[in-house]
Amino acid sequence: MCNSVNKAGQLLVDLAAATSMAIATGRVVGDDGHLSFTGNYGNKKSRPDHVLLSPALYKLVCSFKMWDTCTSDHAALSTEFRVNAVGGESASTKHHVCRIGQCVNNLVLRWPHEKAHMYARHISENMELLAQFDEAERAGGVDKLAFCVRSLLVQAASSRAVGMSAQARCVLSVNAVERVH
Amino acid sequence: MVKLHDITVLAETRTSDASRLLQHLPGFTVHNIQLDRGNEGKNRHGIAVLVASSCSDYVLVLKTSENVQCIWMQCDKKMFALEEDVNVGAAYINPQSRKLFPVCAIQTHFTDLFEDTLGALQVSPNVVLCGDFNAHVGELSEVSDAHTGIVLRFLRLGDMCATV
Repeated sequence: MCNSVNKAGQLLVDLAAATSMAIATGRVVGDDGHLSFTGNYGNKKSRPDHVLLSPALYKLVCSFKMWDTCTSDHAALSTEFRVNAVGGESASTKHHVCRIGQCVNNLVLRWPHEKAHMYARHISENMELLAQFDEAERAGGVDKLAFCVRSLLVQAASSRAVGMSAQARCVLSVNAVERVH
Repeated sequence: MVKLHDITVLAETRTSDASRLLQHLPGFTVHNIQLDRGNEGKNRHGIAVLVASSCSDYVLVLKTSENVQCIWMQCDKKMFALEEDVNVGAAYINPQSRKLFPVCAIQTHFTDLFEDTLGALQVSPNVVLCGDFNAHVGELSEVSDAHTGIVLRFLRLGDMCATV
């Protein structure tokens, strides 16, 4: 295990704290904080590689593995997620029961009409996504086309300049606020 | 090894040549940052995301960061069976060095990375950020050790005030 701390490490911890994400290093099943960097001659030992996860994804991790690679002085980090299983629920799942500190907020989109122009402009200027849309159209990928359209809408609504998205709060946090008032 | 994974992040690729990155990986898709010609083949440059053919319809490029070597992918919620999409950030932060990458440069890069992460969280609450951050976190905790730099600065300021 690597016990050293550097400036980047402090800043990564700050970033995780400020965004409510967890650094998986030393926490998830199979990760004991192993060293991932050994240097070309095996004389440098540290853990500079990390995976940060938001709460819903943290709950879905089912295994972690570190692979030795002969082509690099870094090991490969592998994180496996459990899908379609218990733990994948969110606040809007049918039989969901809210638990304090464990519920994930949901993204909701609102339509303030005065921002329609900004919204349309963001879509027309999202060249990267429009290029992927064209590529999907050429390939005839219906799923990808649908995903591109949805992403165009969500990305435009979520951009800072447009601001049409918000996070729907968990039932428990709403109750807590109501009690305070 | 890459073939066993749906999404693979490669840090410090030293190339933006897709054909080199996809050698021996038929069916895979690559999304990478475009390197300046002068940086091709150089250490500390390049980041790429490889996507298996079974998932390529469900992964889009969300953003390629301007100021930091980071590429953000948006994965369809179907992939993870979640209510919202999952945004995956693949990042490389240079190691600290007195001449090439001093502390102030690290702070700037992490500020940019923080802004990008906030942007990704605006699109979806589900975010994975991974890569080579050249960050040694030791046993620091996001709960009890966060913002230690600011706290220590205030403590030092407090000491100075007490001395005055």
